[in-house]
Amino acid sequence: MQFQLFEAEQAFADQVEEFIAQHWLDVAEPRRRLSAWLNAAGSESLRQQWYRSVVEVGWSVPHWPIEYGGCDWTRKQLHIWLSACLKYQTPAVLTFATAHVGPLLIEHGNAEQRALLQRMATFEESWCLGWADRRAATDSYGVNTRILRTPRQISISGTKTRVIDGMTAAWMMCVTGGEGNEPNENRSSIVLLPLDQKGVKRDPKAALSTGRAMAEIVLNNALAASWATLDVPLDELRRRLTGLAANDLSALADSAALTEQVRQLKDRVAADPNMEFGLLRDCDALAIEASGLLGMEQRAITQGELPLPAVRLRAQTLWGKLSELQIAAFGYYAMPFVDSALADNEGSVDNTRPVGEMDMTMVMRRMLSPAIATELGVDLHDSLAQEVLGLPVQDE
Amino acid sequence: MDFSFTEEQTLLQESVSRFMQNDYSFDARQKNSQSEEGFSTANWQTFAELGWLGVTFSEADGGFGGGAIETIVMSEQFGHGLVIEPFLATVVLAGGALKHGGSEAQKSQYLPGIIDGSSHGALAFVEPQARFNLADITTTATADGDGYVLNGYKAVVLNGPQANFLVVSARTAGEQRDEDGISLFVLDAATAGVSRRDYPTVDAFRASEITFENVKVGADSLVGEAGQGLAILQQAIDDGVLAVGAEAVGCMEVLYKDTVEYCKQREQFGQPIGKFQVLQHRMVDMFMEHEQSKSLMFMAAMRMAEGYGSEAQKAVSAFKVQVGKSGKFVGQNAVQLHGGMGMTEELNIGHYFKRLTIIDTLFGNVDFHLQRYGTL
Repeated sequence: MQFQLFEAEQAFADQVEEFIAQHWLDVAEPRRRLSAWLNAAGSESLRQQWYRSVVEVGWSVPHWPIEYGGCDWTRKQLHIWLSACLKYQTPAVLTFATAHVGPLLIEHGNAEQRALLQRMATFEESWCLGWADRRAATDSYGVNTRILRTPRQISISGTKTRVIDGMTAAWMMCVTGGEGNEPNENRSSIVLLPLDQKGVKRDPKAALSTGRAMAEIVLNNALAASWATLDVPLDELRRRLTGLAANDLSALADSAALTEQVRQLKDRVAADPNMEFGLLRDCDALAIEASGLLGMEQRAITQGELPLPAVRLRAQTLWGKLSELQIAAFGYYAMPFVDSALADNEGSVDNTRPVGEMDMTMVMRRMLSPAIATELGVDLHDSLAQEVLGLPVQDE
Repeated sequence: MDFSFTEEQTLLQESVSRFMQNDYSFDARQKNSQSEEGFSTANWQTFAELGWLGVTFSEADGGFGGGAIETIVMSEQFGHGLVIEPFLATVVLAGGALKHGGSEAQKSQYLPGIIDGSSHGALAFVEPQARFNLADITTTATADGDGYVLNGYKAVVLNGPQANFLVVSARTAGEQRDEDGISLFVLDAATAGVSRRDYPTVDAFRASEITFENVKVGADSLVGEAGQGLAILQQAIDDGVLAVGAEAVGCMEVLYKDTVEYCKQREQFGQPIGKFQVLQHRMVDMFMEHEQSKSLMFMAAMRMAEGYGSEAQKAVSAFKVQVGKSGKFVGQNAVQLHGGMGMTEELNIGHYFKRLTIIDTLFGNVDFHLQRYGTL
């Protein structure tokens, strides 16, 4: 057992830190970086600049096989890279495309589908998930988007609602029902659908947070290529999207970012003479839990003795706790719904906060940002109960 | 960061685990706890023969050169069995104080007896007014010719009734709560002027209140340098935190696994209660608390193994905070999910919960260690 990184790992970690400093931390002031991290309007150029640097160094899809642009990295190296990106709040390297669609195509896709990988790996084309239909649940029986197959193409009609990143995505991984009139789970399909076409109409869907754009997307005989059906069972797709796939290590890198944000919060709390003492202790308690999360991440990626959903569940819980503490620390300034990072002209309402620090709006945005697991109605407790503890499946 | 055990550590783990499964039944444990000694002397001899009592001592002292990692390896398994033999008091605390601060002569005198199972020790460091402050000491050691005279009172001395020798903290200088001026002494438990009041503890161990009244000891009883005993004491206590924390992790594993099995079997309304979503989620939370604690156990052990300093102390306190919180959660829910059965003496569940409750208090509870963590 050894706490410190091995020499080669430390050298890699140093290389990662240097890269992020050079291509992210040093290229823009904190406020602009925060805007880009939050994918706010006006931050596109900074985001693109970052993505170009990542592509140039070859680290855009390190978890993919080498022949598709991946890196021959160990699981620890992957953890180091992803942890650092989260810690320094770079634009997400793990997008829906690189984290979910790409690995699915690599494993199950045909040659035409795999040809789409290159533009994912370069962040040139973003993807969204079209699962929930309007007025339908996200269970397999609830999908009522219909398809019509011809020898040359697939025609899709229906309305996909609450589509995360749906306003900007170039492609949709679209879950459809069968070709008949009755919804039928066994006839569900997953179709790779280009969105920039005549049969697609997108409307913004207001979210509680003002963060990632959601969309309602009407498909009116939208056309996909005949090769565009992905041969993956719907249950498998659901498992992967909710982080239950055994080989999915892509989101096990939260502890470093949590630790850093708790540290920043504690420093601020400690410096405020009017802050409640209990809050300081709560920061310490959360720091301890973040440290435990690091241990869980390491055990999951190196020993394989800990199920991945357990680590995800813990991370979700701790992000929630951090948000609670941050809100508590704002005091009266928890009330204004004004985004200081984006209010370039007037600056923060709370002028005691340093430029570039998260403000209340950002915290609320993070708390309310829709996650795929939430969208699909999945609770990791259920997965862990049945798959790890071996408890019986609950009745429908 | 590397979480893998060496081959020797794996063998040690398997050895202790096998003994717990095959030779350490809960019924026998309960019976042994009622014996005069409060544990099985046969088991203790077996521990010695299997080498477990010497694992954490250096080879030069007759041990196997193990340390923090080996401590958690064994203690976690002891937690599975809910072991009542005084490994913590004799090996980790009393033996640990001598390991960290004892002279060669003291080690030669006391450690072989610990390792071969013939001798028991106890660390007398708690005083009634001190809560968890190791430096709050009113017991005095006054220089007297070539030696010292001890006067004072020590509370809740674990394994006091069985101890052949005591390691005692006493003040040779300074005020009641000064960190300087604290010295440690090792002495025969039967020394004139030492008197005990023995009692069982809630978790089936044995302890004593010990009075020192004009107890004369030689200069060779002094452990480490005069006035500099707090650092030695602190290190031994942190070893203890690591050990009981690992034991708690073992207890929690038994509790959540037994609860899951019980809920798969127990039927209500024509189906296993483990099918109910609300109970499933509660069991998942128990599992999560155990895993979180286990992760911090590894982190703390690795820090301790790398060297004792503020980082190690911080990691140990973090571990103790988590164990205190998780142990309470897992214990309470195990009892709750077992229903009325969980409250009976005959079922092991409540006994694990009692041990977890006491472990939270031992060497500082959640609040104490959270405060310590914040200041380190």
